[in-house]
This record gives sequence, C-alpha cells and structure tokens, in this order.
Amino acid sequence: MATHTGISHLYVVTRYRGKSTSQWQNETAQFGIRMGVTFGDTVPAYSAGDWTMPGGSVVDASFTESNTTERREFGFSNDGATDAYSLAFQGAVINLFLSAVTSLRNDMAASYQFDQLRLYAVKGDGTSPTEPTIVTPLDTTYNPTTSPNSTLAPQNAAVVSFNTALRTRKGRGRIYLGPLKVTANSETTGLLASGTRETAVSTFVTLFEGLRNISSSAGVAVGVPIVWHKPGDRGAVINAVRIDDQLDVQRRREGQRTPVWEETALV
Amino acid sequence: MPEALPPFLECVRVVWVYRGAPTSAWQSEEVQFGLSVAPYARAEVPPTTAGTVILDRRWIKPSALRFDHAAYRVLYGWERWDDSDVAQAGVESQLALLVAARDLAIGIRSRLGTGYRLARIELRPQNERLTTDTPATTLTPLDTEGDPTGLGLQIPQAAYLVRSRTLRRGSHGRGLTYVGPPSSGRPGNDALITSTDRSWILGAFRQFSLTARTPQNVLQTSAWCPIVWQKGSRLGAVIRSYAMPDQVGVQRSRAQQRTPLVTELAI
Repeated sequence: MATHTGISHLYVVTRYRGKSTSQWQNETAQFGIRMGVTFGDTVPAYSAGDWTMPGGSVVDASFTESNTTERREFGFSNDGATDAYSLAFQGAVINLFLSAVTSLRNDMAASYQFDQLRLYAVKGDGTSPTEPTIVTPLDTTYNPTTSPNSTLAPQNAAVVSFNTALRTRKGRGRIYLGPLKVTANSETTGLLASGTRETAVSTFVTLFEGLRNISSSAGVAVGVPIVWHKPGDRGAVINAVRIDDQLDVQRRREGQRTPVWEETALV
Repeated sequence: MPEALPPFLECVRVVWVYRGAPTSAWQSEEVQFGLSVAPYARAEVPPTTAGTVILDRRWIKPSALRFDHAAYRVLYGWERWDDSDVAQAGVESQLALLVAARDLAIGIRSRLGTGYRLARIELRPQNERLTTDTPATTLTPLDTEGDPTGLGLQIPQAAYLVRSRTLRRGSHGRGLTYVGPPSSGRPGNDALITSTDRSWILGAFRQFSLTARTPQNVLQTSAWCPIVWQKGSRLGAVIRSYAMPDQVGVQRSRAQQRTPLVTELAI
C-alpha cells in the first residue's frame, strides 16, 4: 500500500442531491469544512489565529464498513501506518459530520436528499493524492424532514461565515448552506428565519467543538477546524461562527436543470 | 465655438421602480425593471416581424410640466420639440405610455411580494452615447393600486425573468429584465413558477406592448414601439414576443442595499 507524505489537512465535503422524483434530480449542492490534525501535539487555542499545521501522511486503504455506508480509502497518521486508531479518528470525524447533517435536516429543502460525505486528504498545493473516503447513506435517515412541497429555489442559500483571530481575508471563511426549505425564508419579512439561523450556528459550533474533542474517544488525534489559505501548511483556527439574516445566492451548482420556457407573442 | 447640441433621444427606457414599505426590513431598498420603447408617428410603427430597425433621433427639451390625477401625479422631465405639431403629442403620448405602464404594474401585482410598493414609473430618455442628463418624466402613484398584493415576500434578490425576443439574431436581438421580488407563495412544487403565473405576467407585458404600439394621444400621431436597444449603434430590434422560464432568477442590482443583522456565536 502506497504512503503519501506531505498531507496538510483534511477536507470534508457534505453533498446533497435532488431527489429522483424532483425536478432537481441532476443538481447537487455541497459545503466543505477543512481541518488540521494533531497527533498528540499541542492543540492550538481558539485565539491562535494563523497556525502551522503539523501535517502527516496517508496510507491507501480499502476498508468498507460491513454494516453501514462507509468506504474508507485512506488512513491518516503521523507515522505512515494505517492502524485502528487512525481509522477510529476517521470514523469519529464521519460520525460528527453525520450528526451535523441530522441537525440540519429540518431546515433543508424537501426536494433534496443527503447524498454523500467525502473526506479528502489534501497536500499543501491543494491536490489530493488518494481517492477520498466516501460515506453514502443506505436509507433516508439523513434526508430533509420537511414537507413534500417545501423547497426554496436552489440558488438561495444561507451564508455561514467562520471567523478566526487572523484579521485579514486569509482568516475569514464561509460556506453556502442550501438548498433550504421554503419557510427558511420568513414570508412576512423576506428574511432568513431566526430558527434556521440559530440551528445553523449551533450545528457548526457543535461540530467544531466535537472535532477538537475527538481525542478522548479516538486516541490522541484531534481535528482543528481552520480557514486554509493555499498554498502551504498554515491555517487560521476558527473561533466563531456567524450568520446574517439575509439569504444569499449560490451561483455555482452542478448539473443545473434546464428551465422550461413559456412564451407569449405580440401578434 | 460650436453650438452645443440640444439633447436628443433614440428611445425611452420605461422603468418600474419598487421600494420596500416603510414598515418592512427592506424600506431603504429599491428594485426596478425596465423596457425600451422607440417613438414613432402613427403610420410608421414597424411590425413585430421587422427585426432590426434604424432609430431616429428625436430632439427633446427639458420640461417643468405637471399633470395631476386622482391616482397619480406626473412630472414631465422632458418634451419633444423636433416638430412643432408633435410637441404637444409628445407630452400626451408620454402620459399614455405611463398609464399603460401603471396598468402593467396593476396587472402583475398579485404575483409580486408584499412588503414592497410601487414607488414610481420613469420614462428615461436614452441616446446613442449615454443616457442624457435630462431628467426622466416620472409618474408617482398617489394610491396603492399598483402595489404588490402577493401572498408574502420572497427574498428581494429573487425575480421573474422576462425575456424579450425579436427576429434579430445574436445577443442584440434578446432582452432580459428581472421582475420582482416575487410573492412567496407563487412558486409551486419544487420551487418552480407555475405555467399559470408565467402566462399571467407575460400577458401583462403583452398588453402593455400592444397599448404602447397603438396611438393613444388626442392627435393620434405618436406611438411607442417596444424594442431591444443596442446602445451606440442607433439600432433596435422590434420585440416580437415575451418568454419566461419556470425557474426563479436572481436580481443582482438593488439600490441602497440593507445592512444585514448578524448572529455570531463564539466557540
């Protein structure tokens, strides 16, 4: 099994896809979170700002969870070994993200379903030398629970911002969270509903705290959520989650649906 | 010294301006949409199959005329004076065009989001170089007839897309305007705009265009031909039909954008 050195950090992508019964069946929407990993090293404080990540190496693996949904393609460690503990770390990361997906399901669009989690090992130049670990749900456990017609237009998304102690552009990150349910937009005000805002903020705070506390359940490895600025092995440590009360526009969507046109002639 | 040219126009931009209601979070924001129309004497209005037409220059002069109606007030920013018998007709045909434009606003009000009001309708003179410095002729509503009466408010950056189609090929033969914000209850299943709603809005645009093309002034001398205007070329393409996709579009330009309220949670 090949070993790949020079890994800077992990990148976890959460992806949604239009349900096969919906008009958006070919479209996907996703958000990604990056994290440095420590192996018994000092975990940086929230106030650390810019932080040099210890980095590590990954070993190709082909490990499929027997009873669930995961296909792990690599183990992450500081000594080039794929051992139970690096897999345990990866498993803990996956579980935390699945918990976040569960927490968000009451606010996501009914026409979409949770599609995949993808874990990429990323080098300092932004490339990934291995196949990602892919977690695919086998049932509807993680799908939005909103009513069948509850879908806001898919380009409408809530921007969740990540703050750090690094007070420059390199220290600010954001994701587009969506597609959302219809009532995520308050129809009396045209603003992002307060419940959706609170859920989003608390979900990511819980996720980030959980990643930083993995060590107690999976050896000494810890995930430190960061805003990465490539190229390199430095990331700014996330210390706050922000969201505002206006919906934003997600312009990049994969597999965009072809619209159907209605036409009225003047003659 | 050469004598300065008097202002002229090739066409007029009819602009519908909506503003957030004083009680809404969007009270300082304005959104607008517009259509271009070229002035013609009665017998000259080109057919909808004309494709590309060469536009005449119409000399205009600033005006301080005013017209008061129970439901609206019109302040004339300009009058035509390129031939004397058309001068008065130019004023009257502006009024007729504004009334038709107001009817369009009333026609689509049930599909637009509440929380916004029809602030004014403007006739902005356009010439081949730039928009003239001449003030626009402005209709200000004195009642609420033109205000949106939808079921609620979608986010202000959402909009219905109305495509103007002509027989001219290429980008200069197509126009696009963003009409909104839509009512929150209008998109149907899967966040798509129903065929009924699309036909409704396109019907209002069609009626406006047919009225504009027909001389409405007392002297029956002037009419307006809806066109897609190519700035800098003195060319226009005669609009033949209007079309709308079933997906909600994105309105990118909004004046006086509201400052969002931020929720932040430190980790």
